[in-house]
Amino acid sequence: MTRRLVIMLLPLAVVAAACGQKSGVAGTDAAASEDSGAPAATAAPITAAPPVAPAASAAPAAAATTAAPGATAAPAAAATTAAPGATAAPGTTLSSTPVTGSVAESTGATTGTEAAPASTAPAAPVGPYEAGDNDTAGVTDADIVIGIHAPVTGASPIPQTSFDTGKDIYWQFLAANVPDQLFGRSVRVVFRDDEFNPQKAVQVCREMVEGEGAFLLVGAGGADQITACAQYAAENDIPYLSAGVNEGGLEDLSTYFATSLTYAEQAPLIVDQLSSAGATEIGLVVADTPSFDDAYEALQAAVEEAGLTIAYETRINKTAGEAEQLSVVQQLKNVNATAVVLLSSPLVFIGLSNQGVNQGFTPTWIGPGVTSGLNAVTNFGCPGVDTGTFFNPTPQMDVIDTLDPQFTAAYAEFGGGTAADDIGVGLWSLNKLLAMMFEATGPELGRAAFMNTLVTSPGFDNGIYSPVVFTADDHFGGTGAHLLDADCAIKQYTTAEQFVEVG
Amino acid sequence: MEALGARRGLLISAAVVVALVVALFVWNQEQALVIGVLTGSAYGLVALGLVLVYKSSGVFNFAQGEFGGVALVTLYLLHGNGIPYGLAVVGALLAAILVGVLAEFIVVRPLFEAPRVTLLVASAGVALLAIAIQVWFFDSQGRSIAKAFNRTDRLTVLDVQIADQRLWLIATLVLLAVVLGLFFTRSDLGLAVVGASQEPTATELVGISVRRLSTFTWALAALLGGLAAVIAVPHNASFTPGVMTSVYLIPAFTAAVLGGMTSLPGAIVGGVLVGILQSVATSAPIFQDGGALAIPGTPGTLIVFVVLVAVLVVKPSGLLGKVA
Repeated sequence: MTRRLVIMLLPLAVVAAACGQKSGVAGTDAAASEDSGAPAATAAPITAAPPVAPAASAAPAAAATTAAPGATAAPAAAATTAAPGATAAPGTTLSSTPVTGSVAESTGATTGTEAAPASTAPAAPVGPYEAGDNDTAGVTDADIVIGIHAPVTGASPIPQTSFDTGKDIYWQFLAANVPDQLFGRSVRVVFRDDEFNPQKAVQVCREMVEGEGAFLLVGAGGADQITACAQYAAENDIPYLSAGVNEGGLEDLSTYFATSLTYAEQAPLIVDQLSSAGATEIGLVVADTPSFDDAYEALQAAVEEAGLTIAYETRINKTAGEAEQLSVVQQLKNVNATAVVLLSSPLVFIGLSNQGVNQGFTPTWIGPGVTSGLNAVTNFGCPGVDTGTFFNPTPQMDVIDTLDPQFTAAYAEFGGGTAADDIGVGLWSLNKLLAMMFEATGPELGRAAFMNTLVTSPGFDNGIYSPVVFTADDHFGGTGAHLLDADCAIKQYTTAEQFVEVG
Repeated sequence: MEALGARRGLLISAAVVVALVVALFVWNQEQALVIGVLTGSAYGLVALGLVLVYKSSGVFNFAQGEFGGVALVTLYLLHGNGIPYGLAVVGALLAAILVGVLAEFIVVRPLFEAPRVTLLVASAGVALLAIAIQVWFFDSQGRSIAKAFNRTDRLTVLDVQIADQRLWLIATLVLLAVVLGLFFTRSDLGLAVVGASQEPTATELVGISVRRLSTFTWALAALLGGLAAVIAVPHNASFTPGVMTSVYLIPAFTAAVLGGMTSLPGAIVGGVLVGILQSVATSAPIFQDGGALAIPGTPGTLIVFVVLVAVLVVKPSGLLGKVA
């Protein structure tokens, strides 16, 4: 991860020095880029463009037409230019300097300017993927089909209605505000409950591909289900994206892409938190599934490297019952653990933490996790979960309006009266990222072209996730996360820290 | 002869319990004893209902957990709508009884003459239907549920706090064991239920309706399932649809088999033993990686199945039962 950051920062520093800009700041001087032409070159990181930066839609066209092979990145332009022009062309030098896109976002959408027409779109990117027999399955001139699966039932308390409502709010918003953003295509989202069961996950993924014609698949949560479905996707050359979970079982899958830090990659972040909180006696509790082996080892190593003591560690059943939960809590209490690093299903977290409260034991529960940081957990996990703090790809509702003002407005307009929630934030962010990827791929959308775009683009920054950067060799694209704190007084998580980066 | 067998069962049970307690102290796992009693009491209560139905009709009732599920949902709804907790509990138990009676009328009675395996499958169908209805109403989401008693530190044994809600559970279990024991040995109705299970034709010949007894038995079993749910689950502050089946039913079945499918005291002893075993397997180093008796995977879960299979193979009648 450090190597990646160095690679990312070096070109940024060079360009910043040349342009007299501070690195990492989303530039707002798009006009300067347009004027000069050349700097808005091919390897600019792709920022939150659709639909939030339509005012800048002229820029990508300019960038595309003026891009010179071999040109270097222009991070300032990246903030305002849209994706197409930023797609790597053969022979260009790729750099990875994603910048935050929130500044550009606030200037967009309201202008009503349309996106770059298809005629200015880039040629299909070249990369390691070659088109197969079903390369354009799920894509027509009119629409793109996306398949999403998540454990609505089973061990994650994810509200079905939140998924049903949130899965295509972004696409409706996009269609209404920037209808040409995806080259005239709309997006149809198909959703299935995988029941927290890997076999069921494969079944529903197959259904979404073969029955519903999904172009790509997305796993919204649940490591084992994501791993199982990603393996099915890889066998069939289908792009598969998910938030970062495990690495084992996924690292060799050519069509798998993690859009946020994996659990193992989050280990240093967790340990930093523990160190800064002054925790000394640490408990380590990880669900007993092979998918978590790499995270378990990474957490052990990170804790020990930081000089902290693991006073008690165990692997707990994925669906641990009361006796097991109480026994584990008692062991943690016996060693006076002040913090417990936890990687488990939300229901096990809720069970453990409430058993702890019943035993007068309330350590800090900290961990990685996509679902443990949901408000659904605080809704019925309080009071036990009150001391929970988790890293998450997306922030919570308290800051989303700052990062993306369109989110709440879009829910008000397209949510059918359903209040916006954090599951909606997750889906909105994911779809926004996908839109950037589709746009970057260009009008000739196919599975191979899409994946070539992912591994050859300098990165994607939707302004809500930490920037996502893939390479041909590294499909774990996350670079940071948000830290969420449970607050049982309001039965919600709040965002304690935004964009916490590794290293 | 029968008395001799029962006495031998009691002696074996006592020996097992004593050996387990000694071993726990030797292994420095005495806390598992307390944890086992606390968690095993809930298993025992569910197991009581299983044994009751099995005793009276020879059916393994897979719907036993979901009688409790119905009670939980009712408690949640009633209390959530302002009904005082005590009344809400009564309403929840009545709802469980109603579902038990309905299950008997709609599913069990038409299949009265069918092979027992058919009834077993039918009871599983009732459980699945009950879970599906809960999911239908609740969107699979968990719900917070209030406890009857909130104090958690009234009693501490071997450094394990025993909350008031747990004390209520244990007291209920003990009380039920005594009451049911007297009921089945001293009351006409209880003796009729036992008689109907052993000699249904003879029972009919003396003018007792076996079918009405069946309705009564299912209602009583549903009441026990409801009690287990409304006392044990709120201690954990929340519940999800199907929790009584997914979390409690398998350990309760194991408890019933371990205790002997026909023995009510056996169900209670079995429940506590299963709770202790789960706790020991989770915490004792000897069962962890590198230990002499290391069990791969999650020992706390696996040990339940190991015990279940071992009892069925070695002593199918269980510790206190006659025929499993």
